[in-house]
Order: sequence, then structure tokens, then C-alpha cells
Amino acid sequence: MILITGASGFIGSHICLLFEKNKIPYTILKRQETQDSNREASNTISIEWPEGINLLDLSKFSSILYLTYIPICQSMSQEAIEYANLLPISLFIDRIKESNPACHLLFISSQSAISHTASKYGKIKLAAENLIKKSEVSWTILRPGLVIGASSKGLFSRISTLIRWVPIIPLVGTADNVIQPVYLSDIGNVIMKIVGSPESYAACEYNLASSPIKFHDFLRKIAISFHLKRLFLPLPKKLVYFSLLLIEHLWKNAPVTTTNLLGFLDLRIMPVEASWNALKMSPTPLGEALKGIAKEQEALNDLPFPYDLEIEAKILFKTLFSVSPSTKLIKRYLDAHQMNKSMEICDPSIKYILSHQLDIEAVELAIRPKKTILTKKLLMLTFLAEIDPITSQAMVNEKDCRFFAFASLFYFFIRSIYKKVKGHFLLWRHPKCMTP
Amino acid sequence: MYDAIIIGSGLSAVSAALKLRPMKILMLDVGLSPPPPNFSSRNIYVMRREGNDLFNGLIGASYEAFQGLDGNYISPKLKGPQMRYFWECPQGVSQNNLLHFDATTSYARGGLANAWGAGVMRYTSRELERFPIFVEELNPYYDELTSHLGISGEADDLASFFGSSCNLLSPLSLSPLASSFLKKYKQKRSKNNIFVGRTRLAVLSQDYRGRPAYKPLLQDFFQGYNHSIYNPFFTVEELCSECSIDYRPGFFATRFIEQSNVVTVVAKNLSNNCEELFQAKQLFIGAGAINTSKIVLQSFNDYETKLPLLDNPVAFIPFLDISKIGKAFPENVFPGAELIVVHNDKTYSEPVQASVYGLYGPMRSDLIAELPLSLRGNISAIKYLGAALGMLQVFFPDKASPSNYLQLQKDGSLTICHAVEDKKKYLDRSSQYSIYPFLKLLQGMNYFASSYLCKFPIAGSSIHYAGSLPMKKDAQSLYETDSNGRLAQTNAVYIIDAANFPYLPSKNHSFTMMANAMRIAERAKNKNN
Repeated sequence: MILITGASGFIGSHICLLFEKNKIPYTILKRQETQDSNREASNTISIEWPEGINLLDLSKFSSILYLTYIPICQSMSQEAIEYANLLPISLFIDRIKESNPACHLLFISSQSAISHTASKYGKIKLAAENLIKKSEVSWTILRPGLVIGASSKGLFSRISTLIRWVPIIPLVGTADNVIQPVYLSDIGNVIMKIVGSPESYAACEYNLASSPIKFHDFLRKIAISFHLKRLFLPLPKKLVYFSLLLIEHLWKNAPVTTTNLLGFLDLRIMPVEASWNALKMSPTPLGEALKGIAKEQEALNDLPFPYDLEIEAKILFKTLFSVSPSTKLIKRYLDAHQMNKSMEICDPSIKYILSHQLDIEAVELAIRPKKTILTKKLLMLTFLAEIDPITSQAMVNEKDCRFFAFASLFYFFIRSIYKKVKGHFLLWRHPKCMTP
Repeated sequence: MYDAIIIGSGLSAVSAALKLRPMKILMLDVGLSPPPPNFSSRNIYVMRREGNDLFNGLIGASYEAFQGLDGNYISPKLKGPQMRYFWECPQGVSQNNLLHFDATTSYARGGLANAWGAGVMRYTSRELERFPIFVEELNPYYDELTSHLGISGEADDLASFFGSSCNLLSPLSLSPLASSFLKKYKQKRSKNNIFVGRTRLAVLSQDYRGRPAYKPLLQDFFQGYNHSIYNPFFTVEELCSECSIDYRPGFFATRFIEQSNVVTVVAKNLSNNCEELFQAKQLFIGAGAINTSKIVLQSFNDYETKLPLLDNPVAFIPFLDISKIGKAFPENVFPGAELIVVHNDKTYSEPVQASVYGLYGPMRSDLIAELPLSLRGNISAIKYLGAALGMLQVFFPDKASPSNYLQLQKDGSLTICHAVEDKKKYLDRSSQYSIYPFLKLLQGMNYFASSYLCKFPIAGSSIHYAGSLPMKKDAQSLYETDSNGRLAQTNAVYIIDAANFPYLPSKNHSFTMMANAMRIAERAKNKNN
């Protein structure tokens, strides 16, 4: 039995599918505050993170696959970063020693985990590696490059979405930094191999990536794999950095952060051949991987969309507040539909928008004058969010902050113009967005 | 038999009752009561910050706060779950049919004043020009009411519009937005056609006659019954405690019959749906202009006549104080009309009045849909503009028009019909309803205001209903009242609410309605004696 943490993430969700496909028994360890859009599975343990680790019974697990990473935002203090990302590892180490010393810890680190990195992400991964290496438990560390795969999660998905939707792609500097992508399936295969016989890979660390490629070539290859023509626009590094810094302050869950940027700029070519040889495997070439991803993405898009009111609430709420709604809020949203008979429980236009993953914010802005049910449902959620002590702070300014107010208003003004144009474009391409 | 029956318990009904003492008075009222308060007496923003769940108070178990999400305007003040009693129509009472008109009627004890803005301004001689009465006749009653209600305000530039400032309580403290508005006005006070001053409010700035001073808890939009804000039911309680009136809630008066110096009122007992009869020498109808007209039409079995109906057309002009963007949201403020602007522009034939509000009272979500950005942008905007956004609510005068009327139907309901409101009239620079003089005023004071963001709600939204049974000097027709409020073809049936107003100037009419009800009651009492 394998215990997996971070199962809702990009790599984690792929690994869970692999385990299921290969009938490998596994248990998901979930943070209590996490609102995963997946259903609560029977093989899930939900704990208060990280204190709950102390109470775990690890005796039945042969391996722990540690994938959790709590995103760092600029305003987080060093203590908070360590509390969220380092303390859980040391608690796991202690727990393994106490309850099951034979249990193997498989830790997924990063290519950025190098000593001279300026990236907070890289630093924390490096610190975690050191903690594990110094411990007396059985461990393996995997250090993947930029993981690429078909999913709506992860950095690669954000990059590929950007390329799909934006005709002009900004580049940081000349973007001739070298990156080493690695195909998600390759990572999956390595993990399967290690959890199959952990003792053979104890105290080993592996660099998992394919051949180096310049970043702008990588972006071009992605555009080609989607059959798109894109213009790439180099921008000064400092301008990009400060823009990202501003975005991070305004947008809690910004898709690309300064941490990503610093990590990216600090990347150095890592030797990978020895690792693949030791694993007796070879990486999928980039071109082949991108082709595979394009096919997998199509297959994902063709899957029937599991639409129900709860999923609708989660997606719409996230569109507004960038965080998942609480269970109480979802229940109230469902109750409101029960009370109000004029409220469509399964509205075809909303189902269409969600299943095609259209930009809800843009579509809503374009159709707002028509007073559609989408606007009504989004407004319902703002009312429910307003009485929630956590999200209500998004609507009430408790301290004077003139600079951020102006910056925020300017940002959202520009963003709204863009969303309006995009919304009309989406309406033109997807007339089903509007209920007749 | 009673000396007098009063129908209703609203502002005019209780004012009349005050003057009719020591006669034997019966007050018939549907009298729906407010639910017990479901907030502690603390500021709602503080409570929320402390993690209190305010669902029942702000949204409501029946999701009352979601009313109006269809895009039909409903005042945020009427949406609160605790305000349901205010607009609820009791069983056995037929609903009105509305055409291009939003009629709010209340069967609550205290009537429409349960959700009023508490603005109490006297009419001037100019505003009473079309009335068959003079301001001197009303002045003693204005003075008496000032002492009875407890009115906060001050003698400022609006004194010539609001009349005597004797016996006023000190004004409430102003929010930063209103304070800077007044300051800017004082700095630029050069034109003699614009006047800004404090609203006279029936809100106590100090403990007064056993009622406590107003505490800014920002619960005003969610609780209908605040002892610091005058509610006519306080007077009903006072009169009951001194045994001056016999108050009978649970009765819905449907009609009256007048025979040989006795007026019989037929009222439905809502507990058993049976009709009961009450007799008196005089009848005073103060059920609100719409319900009063209904009672009169039903009494004459008239399904043909179309009675006029007035209501101040209203325009909302949002404005932004750029210097307050990003300031912390002010939590300790009065969310009603803090200031009044009177504009005597040459475009208008008479001074037009507007109330200045900070947008502190409603839920933030009520405002989100009104802003022009994407919803995410609007959420952020409402956060940072909370202290900077204000609203000018402009009331335009209204006079009778054949296209705006109410008519009784055979099923006992009323049809209220209004001409389709031409919103262009507000945007026509030469129109009597033009909003441009106010926009110009705001822009001159360095506020951001744009006609694109203005809202012009459907007719009926100002809830200043009047004019269906107008007072006339030589009243003769069945549906006219004489200068003493008596229905022309009756001996002792008096209309005491705004149904007897022949005209609606650009001003909140509540105070004049009360003073006029007192005047009518006193004259009727003298006549009876």
C-alpha cells in the first residue's frame, strides 16, 4: 500500500490514474482545507495540515510518495514557507521512524533545487532534500525538469494555454535560457518502478529530464504541435519581474509568479544520462512527447463533462475569488436553487461554458446586458461569499492602501477591456453560451 | 360607537391620532409585526470580522437577499430577510396589478415608515402654491412634530427650504465622504442657485423622550425597527399606554358606509376572514395613498373611475471622490441621506432636491452588478471604492397625468398603470428632468460622475405615492377633498395621507403629510365639538 500526498496536483493526479490502471493499492492523504474538485474517494485520509501527520498510522504503507507543495506567494514570511513546506517533511520522517521504519520515502524535488538559486521554490526544495538525506529513513529523490503533459494543472498547462489563446507571446529577455522538459509519462514510469521495489533505489537521487532546449524553441515547438502561428515578443527581464510582482500582489493565485520566473532564470543544465542509465530507462524525445500530449489533450476534451450543481458552484466561485468555496457555502448555493424554482439547476448554456472550459469572466461580461442566468448565479455566489468571514475580506477594505487600490483598479480596468473583447469573440465562436 | 376611527398606523394616522385626543378613537390596522431582531446590537462589519455567521440576518433562510437578481430593481432596503414583514401581503388581501409601475405597499404596523429614509423637511410657500392651504397653517404642526419626533439637523444654507430650525437636536456626525462634500461646497459657494446642507432626520443624535441616541451599527438596511429612528408605531405604543386609542391590529378595512352622521367601517378580521363593522362619528383614512384610494373606490363600488397617482420620478447619479480611493471602509456612519442638495437651475421650473448618500448601507454584493468592470474587477472595485463612492438621489416633481392612474377591479384588486417611462427625458439637457445640472455640479466639485453610470428606476420606486384624492379649494367631485381633507361628497370622511396632495414637489413629503394630518384632525375635532 502506498500513501500519496499532493494527489490532486499535476503529477499526483496522473500517478493515481497509473496506480488504478495497474491495480496498485494506494491511499490519498489530503489536507483538510483542500477543496479538490474530485469527489471524496473512499481511499482518502483527510488531516489537519501539517499537525495531523503526527497522528498517522504508517504501519500499513510500504512507500510514501511525497508530492505536496504549498505555493509560495511574495508576501509569505520565511517561517510561513518553512511551516507549510518543510515542517511536514520532518514530521513524516519522525513518524516513519516511530511507526514504520521500513517505509520508503519517495520525494519529488525539482531541477531548481540547486545551492545558488534565487528562487524561493528551489531553495525550499533543496532544504527538503537536505532534511531527507540527513535522516535515517529509506529515501529516494527524483529531480524532474519542466514536466510536460496533458492536464489542466501545472506550469506547462499554463504555458500551453497562453500559447493557445494569445497571438503575441511575451518572452523574458531573449529567452535563450536552456530548459530540460520531461514527459509526465516518463515520470510516472519511474515512480512505478521505484515503488515496485523501493529497496533497490534507496538513498538514490535521479535527475529526470530530456535533452536541453532553448526556451523560445520550446515555445515554438508547442505552437507547432497545436498547429498555431505565434509571434514571440522579447521583453526586458526587469519589466517582466516587476509586472509579475504587481500581479502577485493583486492576484493571490496568479498563474505565473516571480518565483516561477526566478526559478526559470536560474536553471542550469543538469546531467541526466547517468540517472536514466541507472534506472535502465530513456526519456521520450520532446517532439514525440508533444505529439502525445496533443492527442491526450483531445481525448481529455472529448470526455463527457461531469456537470452538476456542486461542480458548477466550485468552478464559478473560483472564477470570482480564485479560491475554492467552503462546504457550507456550496450547501447554501444548492439550497438557494431548491428554494428558487425559477433558478435552472442544470442550465444548458452554463453546462456548455463549463464543459468547453471557456473563460467565464469574459463570457459573463459580454452577455451581462442580456441578464442571463450565468450573471445571476455568479452574483448569488458573491452574496454568499460576502457573509463568509474569509472571502468577505475581498470586498471590504479595512486599511488605507492608496497605491494598491489604484494599481488594482488600473489592472482590472485593462483586464476588463481585454475580457470584454475576448467575451465577444467567444460568443461569436460559441453562440451556445447564451440560453435562448 | 367611537368618536373617530383611524384606518392605518403610519405617519399620517398617528399624527391625526395625536390631535384627536381626548376623543374616543379606534385605530384599525393590519399591523404586521417585525420579527424579533436576529443581530446583537453590534456593528455588522465587526461581527463578520470576528467570524460570526450573518447568513440569517443578511441573506435569510428563504434567500430573500437574492430578490432583484433578475434585473428588476428592488430597493436594497426592502430585501433584507428581517424586512419581509414590511412588504408581505397578508392572506385574504388581494395583490395589485402593476403596469410600468413599481408599487410598494406595506401592511406593517407603522406602515411604509418602517423603511423610510427618516427625512423630515417642511414644504415652503412656493411648494404649497398648488395646495389650497398655506404654510402658516402647517407651521404650528411642524413645530409640534419636531418636538414629538426628535429631529436632528441644523440651521444652514437650506434653512430657507426647510423652514424653522427651532428645537432641532444636534446633527449626526458626518461620514468622511459627506464631510468633504460639504467642505467643497462651502469652498466653492459662489452661485446662488445651488444649496447644500444637512438632511433633517427623524434620527436621534442624543437620548430623547425615552428613546436612545443613534448608534452607527450599519444594520439599518437589515432591521426595520430601530428605536433611534422614528417609527410611527412608537406613537401608537405611547397612545395605547395612556389609553388614548383603542388599537386593533389584524383588521383590513375594505370600505365605509356613511349614513345620518354615522360612519360605518367594514373591515375583514384577518384571523377568521369574517367582516366586522365598526361605527364612529368621523372617519380618518390614512392607509397610504394606494390603499386609501382603494377603500374609497370600494366604498362607492366604482370600477370605472381612474384616479390619478403621483410619485416623484427619481434618478440615481453615482459619483466618485477620487481622493478617497483606497481609504478604509468607514464602519461607523449613518447609511442614509446625510446631505441634501437643492438645485435651482434655470432648466428647472422650481428647485429640485437631491439626497447625498454614501453607499454604506447595502450589502457590497448589491453594488457589484452595478459597476462596469468584469465581476472580478467589480469585486476589487467595490473593495477599494467603498469609502469613495457616493450617490445622488434626485427627486423630480410630479403632477397628475391621465396616463398615470389606479383603477379598482371587480375582483377587489387595483390596477396601477403608468405611462412607459421615457428615460431619455433624464438625459435631455433642456428637459425638466435633466440630470445634467447635477452632473455639472458634481464635476465642478471635482467628483467623477458620468451619465453612463446613472440609473433611472421604474416609476413608483421613490415610494412617494400621492395625489389620488386631491385637495381642492372648491372640491365638488366624489374623489376630491376640500382644504380640510374631507371627501367632497361626505360629511365626516377625511383623507389624512398624501392621497390628498394635489401636487408633489421635489421633496420628501412625509413631514408635510404628518403636519397636514394633524391640521385636518384638529379641524375635524373642532367641527365635531
